[in-house]
Amino acid sequence: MKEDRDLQFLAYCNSNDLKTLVDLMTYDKDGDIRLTEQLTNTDAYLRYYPDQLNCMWQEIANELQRFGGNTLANMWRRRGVCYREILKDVCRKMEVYFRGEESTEDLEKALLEKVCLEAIDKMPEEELREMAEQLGIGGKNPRKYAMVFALQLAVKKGGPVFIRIVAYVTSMISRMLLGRSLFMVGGNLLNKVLGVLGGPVGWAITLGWTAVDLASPAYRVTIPCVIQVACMRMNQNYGYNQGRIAV
Amino acid sequence: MRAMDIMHPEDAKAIQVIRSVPGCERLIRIYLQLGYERQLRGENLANCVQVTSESFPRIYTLFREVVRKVGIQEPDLYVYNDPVINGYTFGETRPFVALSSSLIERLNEEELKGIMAHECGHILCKHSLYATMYRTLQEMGFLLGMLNRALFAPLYLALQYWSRKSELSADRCGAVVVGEEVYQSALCKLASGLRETDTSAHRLVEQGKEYEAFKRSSLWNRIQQEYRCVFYSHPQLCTRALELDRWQVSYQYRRLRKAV
Repeated sequence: MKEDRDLQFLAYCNSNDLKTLVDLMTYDKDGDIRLTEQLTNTDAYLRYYPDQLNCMWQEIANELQRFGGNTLANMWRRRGVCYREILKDVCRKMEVYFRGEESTEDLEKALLEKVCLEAIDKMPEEELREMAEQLGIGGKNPRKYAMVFALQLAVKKGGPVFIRIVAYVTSMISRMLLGRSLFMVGGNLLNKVLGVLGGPVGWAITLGWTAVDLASPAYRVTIPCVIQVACMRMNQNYGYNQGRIAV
Repeated sequence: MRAMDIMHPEDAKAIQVIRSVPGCERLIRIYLQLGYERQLRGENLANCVQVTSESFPRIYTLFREVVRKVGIQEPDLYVYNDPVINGYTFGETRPFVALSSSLIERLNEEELKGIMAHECGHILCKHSLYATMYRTLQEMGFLLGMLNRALFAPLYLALQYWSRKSELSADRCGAVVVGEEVYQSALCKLASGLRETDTSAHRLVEQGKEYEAFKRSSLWNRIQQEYRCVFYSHPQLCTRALELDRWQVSYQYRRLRKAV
């Protein structure tokens, strides 16, 4: 594992959160094992999954670093990239604006804010109502725009309600991904692969960048994983152990 | 028991790759239904002895117990005459298990149950479907000789790789039903061919560790050993014992052992 101060906190996380992270890395949205994962056949995984995952935090961190790096480059340097690089990559992909001097926590906060705001914006009324109820936001029978406004305000304002919203949204994302939903991120690779099959000319033109794309950071894995890691760090930093939202 | 509970990750990945070939699964299924499975069923009925409550009641009782524990529909069971300790399973619509006479004679009841569970594990994981492709290519080899190797070498080697990994999943099933020590003792008898093995069943695990260390000791050793393995349909027996030893510490194994 490449030494990474940003991932050392995994050693102190609870196994439930780590299990979500590990499952995101090892299984796809259909519940099939990921072809590129290298965790499930390790001695550590066999010994510690699912109850004592913090004992294998280094293996988990290593797998995340590996997913974040270009496959060919990983083979050359025999390890992945630092978490901060993965986080920056994800921020770029998710169009989160940053200067690059921010601390990891601030970058993660900006990413989580973006994810939460987008999720709130796109949530159906039923889901919004359920979320607002669980968070104790809004009065009796509020209208959709009022709930959206209240939740967006809470996200912008930060503090404990924001943390609870993050926990809710993160659990929703992992539930969707691990619960065989149609939630897709970074899905344009498939279109490119289909393009390759379009014909010999297209094949010749697109072969190069498809090879690069296939070997490049696996956003389908890294985006949800970074969101999960960011949420776990936030929970830990704020000592948010009481009143945790049931997943 | 569910297939995903016992499936070795490498087996699951290899099956996923085979499944990703469009129409492949459907084609094999049709091929199986139309001819191959029936052909083998006929051959079994013609040349082997079917195990029933009348013909071999003791073996049949053991088999029923194993089938119940694995949780599959009861397949047909046959015994065939062979001095080699072996067994195999085949079929998709009406699967069967065949055990060699030598296997039944040399293994004790618990070990025999372990091997039966191993074969049932293949049925549970639906390995027969993909094994058909492997066997067909193998049989084409007898007819076409080198031409077959030249045409299908990559596919054949890929299926050999999958076949080796599928054995690890089936071994897990065997270990769940009888416990890893009994299963390892059966592997020991498979390796030695002896009726009684005085040595501890764990000896094979130690040997597996020695073998792995030997392989890792130099690049040349590694290349040589990997090259030999490439043409095997089963992993080496010490590797199988070692893989089980790794798995027996897992939560999944402990949970399944409690459940059966």
